[in-house]
Amino acid sequence: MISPVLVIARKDIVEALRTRLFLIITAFLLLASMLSIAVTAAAMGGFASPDYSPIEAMRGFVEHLEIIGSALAIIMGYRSAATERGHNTLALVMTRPITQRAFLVGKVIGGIVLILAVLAIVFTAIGVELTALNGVGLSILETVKLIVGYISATVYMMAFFLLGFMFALYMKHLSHALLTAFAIWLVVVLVAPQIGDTLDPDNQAVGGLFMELAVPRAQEIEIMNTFDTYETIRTGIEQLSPSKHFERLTFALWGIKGSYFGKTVMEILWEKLVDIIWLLAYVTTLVGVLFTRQANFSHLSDKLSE
Amino acid sequence: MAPLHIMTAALQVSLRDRTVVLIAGLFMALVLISAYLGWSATTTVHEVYLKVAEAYATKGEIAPSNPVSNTSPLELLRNMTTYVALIGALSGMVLGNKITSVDRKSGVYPLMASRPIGAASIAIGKILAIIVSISSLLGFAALINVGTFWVLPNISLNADEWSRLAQFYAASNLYVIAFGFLGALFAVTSRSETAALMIPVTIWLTVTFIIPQLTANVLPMAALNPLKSMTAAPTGAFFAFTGAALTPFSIAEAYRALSAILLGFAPSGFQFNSLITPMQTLFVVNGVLMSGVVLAYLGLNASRSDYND
Repeated sequence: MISPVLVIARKDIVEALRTRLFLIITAFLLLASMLSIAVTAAAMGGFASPDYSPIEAMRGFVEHLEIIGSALAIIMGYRSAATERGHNTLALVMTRPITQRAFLVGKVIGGIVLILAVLAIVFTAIGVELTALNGVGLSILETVKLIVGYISATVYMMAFFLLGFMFALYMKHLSHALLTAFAIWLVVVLVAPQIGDTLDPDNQAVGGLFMELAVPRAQEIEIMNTFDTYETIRTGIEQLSPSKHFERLTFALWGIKGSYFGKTVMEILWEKLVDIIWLLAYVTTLVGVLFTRQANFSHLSDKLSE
Repeated sequence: MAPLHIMTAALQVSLRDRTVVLIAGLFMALVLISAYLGWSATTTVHEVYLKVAEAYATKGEIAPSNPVSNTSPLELLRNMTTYVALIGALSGMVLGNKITSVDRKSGVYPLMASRPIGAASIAIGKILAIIVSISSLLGFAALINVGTFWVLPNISLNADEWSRLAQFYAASNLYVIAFGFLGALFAVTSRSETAALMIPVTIWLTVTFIIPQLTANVLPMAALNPLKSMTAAPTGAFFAFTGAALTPFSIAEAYRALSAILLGFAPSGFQFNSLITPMQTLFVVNGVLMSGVVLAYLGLNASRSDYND
């Protein structure tokens, strides 16, 4: 006999695949990601340089995952809870011999499987596109780096899945739940990194302030050390954003940030341990809140319409 | 009179909505800090420059000119461009959605349609409500910015700068209203409430992050930085074609370009790569979307107007 947890997970996956909106948004992420690689190739005039690893061209892809991937995950989480409330099945499910914990575990497993599936499609398509544009297949090391990035992207998107799921499950009105989740998404994905980025003195001139003033790198570091408090506040704001941690990890892994070029995967993961811990902390905290809060499902099912 | 009654009722309902208040409040908070952020960054650059100049002087060399000298105080508001494009646009979509979806959600649209009020009058009332609510929101934002200019030390605007600030807010108003119409269009035409919210968000993501990458290789996160997003497009046939084909319809790029020109942070020699001016793009997009809202109301079947979720 299949456990109730797996029944709920399977039902959730089947329902999601039947939703046209879900498929459209997945296609949207796929299209945006593939376009970003094509545009990078067009801007560089191809990936012909022998010193160049094609996965370094994935900067735009990372940024689309940060923005569109997280928005997609919120919708997936929202849908997972909203579908039960929309069909008024939540209270009915709870009359069966199933605990609230088992119900939530089933939903979370369903979410993980869906995110893994969506990202598998996107990453495979990106791998094929890079190979086609480069004319040479990805090396084993590049493939390993892509797989580690794939796992990181799953953890990152899971945080937003949980956000959308929790709001849709616990808030009185569904439309408020979606918009509140998106308001939080705006702050942590777009506004916090934007504030950190635009407060960076080097970003105050097109092409870079220190470049414009012809200041060598060593002197730049020396000068910026005198703005310790300012830099602490600026980077502190950036730390609030899970997107920034995901970006730092993948930029390092895929060699988008030049200083990591030539390092092994383990060396990079060790250096980026803080970002990995931050990403896991976001997911762990949200899971903790989800499983410690007692919900009154029969109350929620009556409050779908406003 | 009917459109005015509809407008008043729509405004009253939307202002009672807590989500609208939350998102409008978030926008106002960012407006409040945007001038401070600009001032803080500019002051830091000036202090960095003094240290660089000192190092040049020690070596007996002449330092390059200070990048923040002779810049307009309006440049301190450059972050507003991003906040209008992000939270402003989202507020617009939410307001447009709430103002138009309320009748369908509550099931009163069939009742309204049974009264001697034409669908066109309802559409005009809703459009007026969108324009009034968004203009009020942007009006408050402008007042906050005027206040911050008085509070920040050593800042004063001349007549030309006040005029450009007013034009910047007029452009911002047009930009946000366009997203209000977009939210309204899908709130009227979508069969489900979820789709009515999600489709405009998807279009907004496309307009803000994907089209600028196609036309000028502006990466998604760079699109959030008012200065980085002003870099010139790479040369080559690909960008020549995409730039010519997409830029006239790219409302996000038109708004960014217009803001950069008005607030004085556009790079020297900057040109908007389009056959029509940025302001014309904003007017054209607003005209098309407003017409879309009217047509959507004319085509809305009152007997099947309930959302199916």
